[in-house]
Amino acid sequence: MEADFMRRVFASIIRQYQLKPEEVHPRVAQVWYSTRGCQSAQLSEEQTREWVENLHSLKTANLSALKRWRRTLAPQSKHVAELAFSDEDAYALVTVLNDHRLMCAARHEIGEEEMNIRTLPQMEELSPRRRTALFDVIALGTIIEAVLALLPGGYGDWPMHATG
Amino acid sequence: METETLPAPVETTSEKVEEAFEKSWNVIVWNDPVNQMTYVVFVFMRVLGFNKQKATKHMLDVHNNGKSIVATETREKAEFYHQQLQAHGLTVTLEPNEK
Repeated sequence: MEADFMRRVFASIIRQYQLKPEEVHPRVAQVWYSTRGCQSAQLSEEQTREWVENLHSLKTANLSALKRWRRTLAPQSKHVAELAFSDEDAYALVTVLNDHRLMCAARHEIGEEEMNIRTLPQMEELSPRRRTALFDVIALGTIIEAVLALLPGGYGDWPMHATG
Repeated sequence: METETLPAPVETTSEKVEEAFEKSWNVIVWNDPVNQMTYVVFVFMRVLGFNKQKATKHMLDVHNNGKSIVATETREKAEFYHQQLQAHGLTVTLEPNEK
């Protein structure tokens, strides 16, 4: 089940990364390719266009790794799907999974109110599509935290320090 | 009475060089409801080279106050941070640092 979920996530993110910035859903583009910073930096139209292209290149740089991970998770009988990562791969994985969270949230208008949903009845009030999007956002958040906790550098243990 | 027009100010090469090296741009990270606290700390450590304590301080600043100035840098370096932070999914703007 986890492998199916991750396969779906990888396939979705591969599809999105393969789109040009202007082809991405407008709400997603507003998050992934926001030019708010370019405006504040007073970049010209041409500089902004170049900046967006560079940002797109940074995202697509993870495409080959994404395809490799998806292949690794391809259904194989009698085998439990397993993903092995180097530390560098894991850094990229975390960013890619976070991009998927941002995409789901933007596309299905998951905001602060939805992020604070804690009960099943509240969840059931959402449409099935938004419910699935919120599930992805939450599930991937948990996976990201687990991966960060395993990486050298102690990225994942700040809440214990902050509340301790 | 004879009047004299003052010459327009000319920007010298030394002024341009000085401007290029002046740390006069603030890099600002804004709060959003989706990015997790742990992830933001991770990005600050990876991209800005902060230690965990400094990264956590700025993350909490973003969380509690809506934004944080995470760096004051030269224009070039500020633009680099802007792109790197946004590539990691954070919302970033730049503003002139007017002291």
